[in-house]
Formats: sequence, C-alpha cells, structure tokens
Amino acid sequence: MATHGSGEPTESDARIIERILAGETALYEQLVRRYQRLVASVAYKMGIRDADLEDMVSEVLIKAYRNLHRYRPEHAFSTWLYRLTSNRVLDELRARRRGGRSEPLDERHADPGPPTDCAVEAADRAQVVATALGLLPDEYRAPLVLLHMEGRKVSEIAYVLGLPEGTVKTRLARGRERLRQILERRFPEYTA
Amino acid sequence: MSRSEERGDGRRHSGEATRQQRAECRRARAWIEDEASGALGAREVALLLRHAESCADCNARRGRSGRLVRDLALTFASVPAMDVRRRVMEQVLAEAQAASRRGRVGWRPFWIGMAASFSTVCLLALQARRAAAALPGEALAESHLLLRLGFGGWTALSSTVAALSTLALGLVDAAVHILISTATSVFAARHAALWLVALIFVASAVPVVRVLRPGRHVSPLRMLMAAWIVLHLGAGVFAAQDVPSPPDPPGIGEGRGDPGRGSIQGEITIDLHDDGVEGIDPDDPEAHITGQVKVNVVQNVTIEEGEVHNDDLVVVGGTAVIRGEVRGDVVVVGGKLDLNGRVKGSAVAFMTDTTIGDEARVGGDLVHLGGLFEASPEAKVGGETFHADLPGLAFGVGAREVADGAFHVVYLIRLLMFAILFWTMLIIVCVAPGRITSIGEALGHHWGRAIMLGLLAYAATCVLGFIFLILSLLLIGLPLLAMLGFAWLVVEAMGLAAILWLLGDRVVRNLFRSELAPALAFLVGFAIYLPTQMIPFHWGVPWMVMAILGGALHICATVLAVGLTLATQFENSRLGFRKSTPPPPPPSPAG
Repeated sequence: MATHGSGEPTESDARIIERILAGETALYEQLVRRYQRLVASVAYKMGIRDADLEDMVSEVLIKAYRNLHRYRPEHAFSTWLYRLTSNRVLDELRARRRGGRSEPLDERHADPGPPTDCAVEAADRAQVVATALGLLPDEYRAPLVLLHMEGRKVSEIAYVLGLPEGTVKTRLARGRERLRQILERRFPEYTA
Repeated sequence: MSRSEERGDGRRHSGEATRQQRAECRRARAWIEDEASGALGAREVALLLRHAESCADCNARRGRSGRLVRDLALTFASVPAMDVRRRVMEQVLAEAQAASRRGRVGWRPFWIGMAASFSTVCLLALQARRAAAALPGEALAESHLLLRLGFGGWTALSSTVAALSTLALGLVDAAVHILISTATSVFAARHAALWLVALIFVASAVPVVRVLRPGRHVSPLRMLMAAWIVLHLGAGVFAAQDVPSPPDPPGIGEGRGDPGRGSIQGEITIDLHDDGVEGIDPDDPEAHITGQVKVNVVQNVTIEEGEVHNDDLVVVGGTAVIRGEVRGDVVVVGGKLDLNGRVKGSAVAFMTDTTIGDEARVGGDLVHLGGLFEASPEAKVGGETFHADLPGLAFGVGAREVADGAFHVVYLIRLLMFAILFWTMLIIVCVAPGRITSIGEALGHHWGRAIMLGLLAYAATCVLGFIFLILSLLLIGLPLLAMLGFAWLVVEAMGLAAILWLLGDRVVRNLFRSELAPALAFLVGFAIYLPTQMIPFHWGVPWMVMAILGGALHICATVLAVGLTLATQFENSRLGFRKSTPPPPPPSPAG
C-alpha cells in the first residue's frame, strides 16, 4: 500500500489494474482520479487547448481502459499513460495540420516579424517561453515538454515517444537550440 | 544562440585559444546540452565546471542554457483543472456491460478446438496415406495428386476455421500464427521443395507479429502457438510427402488381375465340377487357370486370350477386359466392360460402358443397365439380352460421369437451398436486427440448452415430416408439409442469422476494433461461413471428406440455430427468457 494524494492508503496501480482486468471495472475510477491531471497536463503543454483538452483527456483515458490488458508492469503506469497521451496528441496535431485547422507551428512559417515593444512587457518570462514553445515543431516540442516540464528521464522519453535514446538527446538539443532562435527573433528582450 | 554569434565565438576561440582549448570547448558544449537534459554524470559535471571557470564563452553558454531550462520548468505552471471521471466512467462501464452481455469465452474451448483440429488433421493424414498406399496404378497416380491438393485444401479449411474461432475469442496474435501455418501447410502439401519455404514462413511468424504489434514481446502463448504450427505442418508434410510414389500407369494388358496392393480379394471355396471349356484343357499346365472369385475395386482386370478364369469376376469402378475365358459370371459396376472372349455364366454391366465384340460368347444372360452399349451382331448370347438406358443416363456417359452429373445436381440443389436461406436470413436481419442481436448474444449463456432443443426439434421435425408426407397421399398432408417447411425455414434462418451476426461482429470487433451495423456484421459472418458450404463434390477422398465436413458443419449449425431460436423463444422479451445482466455499480461521486 502507498499513499496517494489525500494521504489515505491506496493500492498500487498494478494491483488495481489486476483487479480491473479481473472484472472490477468500477475501480478504474481510482486510476482516472490519479492520472487525469497528468494526462491533461501533458496534452495542454503539447498544444491542446480549451474544449479540445477535456475531449482529449477523456479519449486517452478511455483508450487506456480498452488497452489495459496490454499494459506491462515493466514501466510505470504513468509512463504508459504518457506514451498513450503523447501519441494521441501528436496524431491530433498532425491531423489538424493536414486539415488546415491549425497554424503551422514551424518557426520559419510562424514568424510574423519583429514583435511590438509591449509584447514582452505584457508577459512574464514563462509566458514568453510558452509562446515560443508553441512555435516549435512537434518533434522537438514533445521531448522538451516531457523532460523539462514533466520531469521524465531521457530513457523514459525514449519509451514514451518510441525513439532511441540517442535520437531523443539529439532532438532535445536541437529543440532547445530552435527555441533559443525563436526567442532571439521574436523576443529579443528575453535574451537581452 | 544565433549562427552569427556562433561564428563570432569560433573566431574568438581561434584567435585566443589553442587547438586543445577549442577541443575542450566543443566537448564542453556537448556536456552543457547533456546537463540540460539531465543526462550528465557527476564526473563530467565537475569537468564542465572546471572548464567553465576558465572559459567565459562556455560559462555564458551554460548560464543561458540553465536559464532556459529553468524557464521551461516554470512554463505552464498552472494547467486548467478538470474532472473527467464521470464522463470516462460512463463510457467505461457501458463498454464493460456490453462485453459482459457478449459473454466471455475462456481458454478451454480454444485449446480444445486446437487439439481437435490437430487430431483431425493427423487422423486424416493417416487415413489418406493408408488409402493412397492401397490404390494401384493410375488410380494411385490420380489419388496422389488429389491427396496433395486435397490435403492442402483441407488444411486451409481447418486452419481457417480455427483462425476464425480464434478471432472470435479475441486472440488476434494467435490468429496471425494460424493463418501463416495455413499458408505453409498448403505450400508444404504441394511440393517437398517448398518445405524450406514453409519453415521460413514459420520462422517469420514472430517477426510478423513484431511488425504488426510493435513493442510486444513474444509471450509463452505465442511459443505454444508456434509449437502447434510446427506440429500442424509436420502432419501436412507427413501426409503429403510420405505417400509412396505412384508407378507408371499400366496398360490394359498389364493389369492381369494382379492381386496386388489394395485389391479386396475375397476367397470363396467353390466346387469346381466344371466340364472344361472348349479348346482349353484345365489340366494343361501351359494354360493360365485361376480359381478364385475376384472382387476388384478400382482395379483393372484383363483376362488374356488363352487365359481361363475359373470363377466369377466382379469389377467395381475399374475396367474389365475379357479376351480369354471366364467360367463364372461377370459383373461390372461403374466401370468399363470390354468383352471379346467367353463367359460361361451371365454378364451383368451396371452403369458401365460396355463393348461386346465379334468373338464374344455369353453362356447365360447379358444384362446392361446404364452407360454406353455397343454390341456386335456377331456376338452370341445363350440366354436373354437385356439392355436399358436408365433415365438421364442415355447420353453416352459412363458411370463416373453419371455420378459427377448427380453430384452437380445435388450441389446445385444445395446452393439453391442455401440461397433461399440467405435471403430469408437477410430479410429477417433487416426487419428485426435487435431481435437477431439479442438471440446471438444469448448463445454464450445457453449453448447447451440450444443444442439439446435443436436436436429435439430436428427429430420432431423429421417425424412430423414423415407423417405429413404420408398424409400428403390424402392431400391433407400437403399444406401441413408446406407449413412445416416454412416454419423450419424461419426458425432456422433466425437462429443462423444470429450466429452469423455474432461471428461477424466478433471478428470485426477484434480485428478492426470497430462495430458494424447488424446487417453488415451478419454479411461478414455469412462471407466467412459461405466457403465451407461451397465445396464442390468431386471424386477423391479429400474432396469427399471436405464436402461431407461442410455438410456436417451446416447440420451442426442448423441444429444449434434452431435450438437457439427456440431456447430464446424468438427473443420474446415478454416471456422473460434472457438472463438479465446485473447493472454495473454506479460510479462513485466525483471528488
């Protein structure tokens, strides 16, 4: 038993999953309660906003239930959820781009020119970074979010994204570099 | 850092530092990235710090990197709060309830089905091998080919059925293995050289699964499946390759009634108080005289000129060529009779192409029923000559062709009946889809009861049908007979439609994770079931076996279907047949 959130003793994820698979479906609510915030956090940070966010979180958690028999305890349940979430979010973002429903996120296409002076004054540093992050290509944004905002290790990110660790490191380095470039161009005050 | 700044850095380094320092800077930059990624060891961190103290550029770079990492960590510090528990749990519990209604199928029937499938294949292989070994001459040559093709077809059929059953059980991985084994078995059954290809196919099963299902390791279940496939394959190769090679087809003169392999030789002790045949002395050591009643099945027999067969001669499904003497009767069924010698008794040819030559002498009667008949006017018959073309056999066809024609007629009738059944089922599914799905869902809970009721209904219908048939002589039985047939058709169509809907629904649900409308799911199930009923009637053991198995499958399905419809009382909810599924516990309040 472990404590979770409220401090009450709670069952481990693996035990709950075992019981759910044995037919105690209602127990899934405990997992939903534990991890809905995590899923929402990842989806939000990767670019899902507003009403779409709730749909995305529900969809991921329902998909997780349907595929619960495929979960293997070699990885933490949260890591497995990260994987489901990031895959689903990336699919969604790709679909949006194909359907023309979102602005291109690539900095080269998104850069509208020099920003106004009040742009940085109106936003704090985190807000500036968040805006710049939204202009990164998905392939760079996902590992940055997982590493710097969700605190995952490189090895976990590799599992979540289905990439070799070396590739993840490369994307992290390039992602940071691209982020710096975006900040320099759009928010020169940030780098001053 | 911009590219111009990079170039500036480079120039300053090139101007200020030595080559070794530049190398250290390059290494330090890589460390800075690793440090930002949290993937730098303690030793490297210490080295980086030492380098940063001595290199202002690298120190500044490290500072910028650290600041960006800190800002990233602070980004999105507040994520919109949401509670999707109710929404998720409503969906999850609804799905769980639906799954519970469909019923869970355990592992036991799966293993039993596989064991039964494998045992059947082995038994068939042994039987086919024995039968092939018993067939002589050209029959063996023909059967050898048919055996290979037929066994491949049978393996494909059984494996496909097994695969579809597996799909219905939700084991897609296992189904992939079985389908691969089907292909390998068919290949292996066709030619020994493809044995290697078969092995490659089997070996590729695991990679195929890996490609289809990335990230999954090979489980013990898959290993067991692989073992089963190898056994399955082994049976196919055993049957197809270990059959003795056929000798060259013998000429007419080479048959000689050799009591070789496969001839069913009945030895009957008879009293040979024969007074001899004109021109042949029974005591002459040079004369070929045999003294056994010969019953030859699928075998050619030739009595050469100067040869005496001192008994009756019976040939079934073969050719009898008589140039010498037969002192008993000659009976040929379903073959050919070429008589240009002497028969002391009677000659009877049934469904046999018969040629009576100039030198033919028959002491008794000459009887011919069905098949070609050519008789020379020079031939002499001591008794009566009776020749009749049976209805439908007067087109110059032989027994085998006649049988083929009969097979085709039976096949067409079967297809016609199946077509009527199909349209009835389709109409019912379209008119009452809810009822059909409810009946189908009840199968998992009440299959035993359904089988029992189906058998009883089958027996009762046979009895009633017989009584009504008798009554139809008095005309009153005709409407009763029609009503009985119509009632049977409706009951069978409802049950079978429900079973096929269940089959199609599960296959699609497990393969594509999607749900079809009842009519479409029924069509998918029907498409799966249809090939088992399309096996044509042909000569050869494997074809016969497959056709009989297809018919048996339909009878079993019919019994189950009728029983299921009756057991569910046509899914009349007012009668309260269905066992209600307990409602799922309500989700606990949010919070």
